[in-house]
Amino acid sequence: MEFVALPVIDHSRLAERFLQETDRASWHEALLWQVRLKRDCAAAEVPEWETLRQLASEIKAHVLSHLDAYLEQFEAQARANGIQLHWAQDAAAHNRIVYELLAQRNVHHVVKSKSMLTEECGLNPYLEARGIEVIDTDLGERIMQLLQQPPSHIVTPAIHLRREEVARVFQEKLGVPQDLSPEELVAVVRRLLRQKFLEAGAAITGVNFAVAETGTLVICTNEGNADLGMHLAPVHIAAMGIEKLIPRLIDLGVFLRLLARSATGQPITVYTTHIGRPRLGQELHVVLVDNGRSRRLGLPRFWTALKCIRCGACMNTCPVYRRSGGYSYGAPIPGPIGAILMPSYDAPRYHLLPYASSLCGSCREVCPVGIDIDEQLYAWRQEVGLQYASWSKRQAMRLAAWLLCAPWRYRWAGKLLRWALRHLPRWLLYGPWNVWGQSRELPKGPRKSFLEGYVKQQTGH
Amino acid sequence: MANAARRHILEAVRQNLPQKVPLPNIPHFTRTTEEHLRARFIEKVRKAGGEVWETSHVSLDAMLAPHLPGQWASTIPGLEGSVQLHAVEDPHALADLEALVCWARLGVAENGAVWLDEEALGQRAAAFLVDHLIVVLEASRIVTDLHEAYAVLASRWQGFGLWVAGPSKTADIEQTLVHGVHGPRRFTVVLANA
Repeated sequence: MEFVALPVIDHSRLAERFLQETDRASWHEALLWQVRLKRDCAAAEVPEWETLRQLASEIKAHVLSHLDAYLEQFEAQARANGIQLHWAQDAAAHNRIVYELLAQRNVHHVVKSKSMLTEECGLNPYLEARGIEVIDTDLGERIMQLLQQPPSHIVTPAIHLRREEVARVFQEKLGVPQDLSPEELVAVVRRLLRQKFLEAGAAITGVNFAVAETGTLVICTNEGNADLGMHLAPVHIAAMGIEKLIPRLIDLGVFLRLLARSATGQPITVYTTHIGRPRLGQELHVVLVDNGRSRRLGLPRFWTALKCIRCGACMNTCPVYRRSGGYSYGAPIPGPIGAILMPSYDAPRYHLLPYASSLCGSCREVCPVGIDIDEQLYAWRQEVGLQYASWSKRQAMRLAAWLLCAPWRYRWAGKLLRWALRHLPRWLLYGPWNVWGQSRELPKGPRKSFLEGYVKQQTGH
Repeated sequence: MANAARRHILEAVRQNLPQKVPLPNIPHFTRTTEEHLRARFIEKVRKAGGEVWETSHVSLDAMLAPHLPGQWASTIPGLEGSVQLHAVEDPHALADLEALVCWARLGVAENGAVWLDEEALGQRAAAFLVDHLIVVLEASRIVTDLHEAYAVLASRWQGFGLWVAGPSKTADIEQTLVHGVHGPRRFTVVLANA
């Protein structure tokens, strides 16, 4: 299964590719469903779960509606603690700032922990093109880096690969014996990357939360990779979106209780590190990135998507994501949340993503910060539909509107359709225009409509 | 140039702010009763893959002795390791450290996490370079949940600290749980009855 870059991300076409391997699709679906079930068990252990979700949603709404003030407060506090701040309006500025920090210090080897923001900005290829070695240290990300493929999930980047495939990658790229077990593969990565941690001239991390009142960064991992990087390297660069702020330390109680339980079903990640100052002799730089976030803040229907804390729960629960895989979204953030985030960054490229949903609303039910993802998916269709729909789709919709606007036209069309289902030859019914029928059988056309049957039953004639 | 970016971003944010929403109060949730705290905490540490040893202060040395490798360090007064952390300036010098024994300031019953601050760690990297992380926690320092924990921490915030809940782990290969991917393979909480 490979990532395909398209000028316009056609989710259904990419999903079709994924579904060609029936076994993998069923395996993938079941694996992610297990993660969803773990989340359910973890949530059920917390009696005040729904209150926490409500609080998290309100705290984020508060921060976002006072974002300028919190950014300034965070900046002042962080600066006072010896943290150096940089502001980047877009991805290009972010990449340039990071590169200049490294180049000025003559750093050629960098270890990096997981950061969806650097994925969004395309930092790795940018630095690599300028002669800097960037080693992804999260195991899943390292696997994908060896394969030269992007992650397919924001929490478990290599979840679409089977263990045999991972073993094969290690054999081909690292020359280790074939058919190693996951334990043996982890031991190989531990040994190789420990060396990289010790040699790195700088560590790049993301940021899970930034506390405005104290100027503190909070970084969560299970592997300890972010910590090994940033506590060893002489330079630590943390990249954060401007929406990552929370007001107070005590708010962490709310968010940390929700984050790992929603993501993997753990009560908390193994390591949750709070950094309010660099260690003695170390440089700590924070790059604050906008890249479309301030613009989104002004979209009345869509600004609440900025509450997202990147737990991935909406992906694990989504019937479409589970059966189409992360690559079908062709975006750094896939799944339901990706489908409402991406169109505002690049509508021509991502306008089809809001259709990658049955609008079942399962994403909203699990979202720890209560984003109405399903409603926003629907709202995005109203935004992009008129602008991008094909001529034929537009005509079909016009016809449907005309039919549905008058009851007599609707009944007449139903009659015609039932007749057609009974009498027309198969080649005509299942032509290329019948997308529904490509993988399904059409129903047999009954002689009477439901209404006709109902009236007959009630009146006896 | 740098200031221009800052000004542009703050200006764009200001122009696009949604309607102001008040900051909610975090209510007090039900606390676990004293006798359940300890049992709940132990259960959660074990579930996260950690070990729990119970001891009284007097016997700490004797209890730890058989478990300590050649290269170990301690930040607990009166417990002298074979490596002196305060003598180390560059954490890279600790690459071969095998075990660290340190104080935990708090334990959380709902998730089995312990709080380690900069003083307890001696060197930030030490807790991640070792194979075996051993933290000593007074049983009376166990709180119900993170709300209670942050109320304590926020009242005297020290600028650096971390929650540790179990040994380093990953499930990135087909959701198979493996311990010790980058950080410690073993994590032990020594529960001391003060």
